[in-house]
Amino acid sequence: MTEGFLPGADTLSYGLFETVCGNDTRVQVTQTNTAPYHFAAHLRISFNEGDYVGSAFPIIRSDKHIVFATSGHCVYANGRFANSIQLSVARNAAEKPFGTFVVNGSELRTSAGWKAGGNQREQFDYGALLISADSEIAGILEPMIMSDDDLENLVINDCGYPADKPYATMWWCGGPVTGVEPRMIRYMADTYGGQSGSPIYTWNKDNELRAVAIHGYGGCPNGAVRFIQAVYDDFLAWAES
Amino acid sequence: MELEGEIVNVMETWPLQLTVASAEKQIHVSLTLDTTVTKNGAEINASQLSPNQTVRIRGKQVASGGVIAAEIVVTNAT
Repeated sequence: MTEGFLPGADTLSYGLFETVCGNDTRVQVTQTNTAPYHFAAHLRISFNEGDYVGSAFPIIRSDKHIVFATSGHCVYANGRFANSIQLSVARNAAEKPFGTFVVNGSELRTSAGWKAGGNQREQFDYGALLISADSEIAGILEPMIMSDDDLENLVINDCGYPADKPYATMWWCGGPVTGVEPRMIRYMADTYGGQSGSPIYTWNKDNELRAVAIHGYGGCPNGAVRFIQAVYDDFLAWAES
Repeated sequence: MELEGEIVNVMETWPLQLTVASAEKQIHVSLTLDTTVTKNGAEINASQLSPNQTVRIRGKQVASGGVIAAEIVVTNAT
């Protein structure tokens, strides 16, 4: 299915799931330069061991930087930061409405918990790419800190760049939250490799788009790091770094 | 080096990254475009890797303790 503008996931019904969970309910986004899709960015990540694909989205514009949120494992793996990352906002295959920003390793950040490793590190799996504050992009997808109760009743949306589809095409998926943990949420959505770092988003009571988590984990259910105050504080600090 | 353990997490970059729990500790495993994945003697797509599968991994260990996987064999049937 290909559509230009898609409904929120809460307007759809869900049956079986695969990881792609059951039926594959993903929808290609072709009008990537419209809200909410124009926030999603394609990442081509250069690590020593090879190139990887991931996703990201902008959450803060400070005097110094625009801060893109992503997964920690998109910027930092095997004890070191990526050498560089090519970031293309609202990319649709060869179309790059805002061009490509090359972000060097010195402009990457990740949490202390992700760097430290250990058996609980997935809970700290977030990071950032910093680009110049005067860069032209579509806007900022502000985070929203939601209560456990509100998250438990949520149907989430996600858009990113799954690698089983034509290269660097954007795909939307969605599904219900199935678990809420102190730092993570679990949900049933049809994601694939390449979508790490993509925004899990919804609308607030004023019908404004807000990011609630950072997708990072496959399986049924999927997993994402929640925006809680401690996580947001790290991004605010990076915005001023 | 060789590693045997259970997949704890599948991180959705592409290629994938995994957390694998061995008898001693959890290890970060990076796949590359050249990593082969097999199950029941047949090659499968890496996207079929999932938590709770047990795997045998052959690859190169890096200074951080992580492994760059050359070959992954799924050794259980889940």
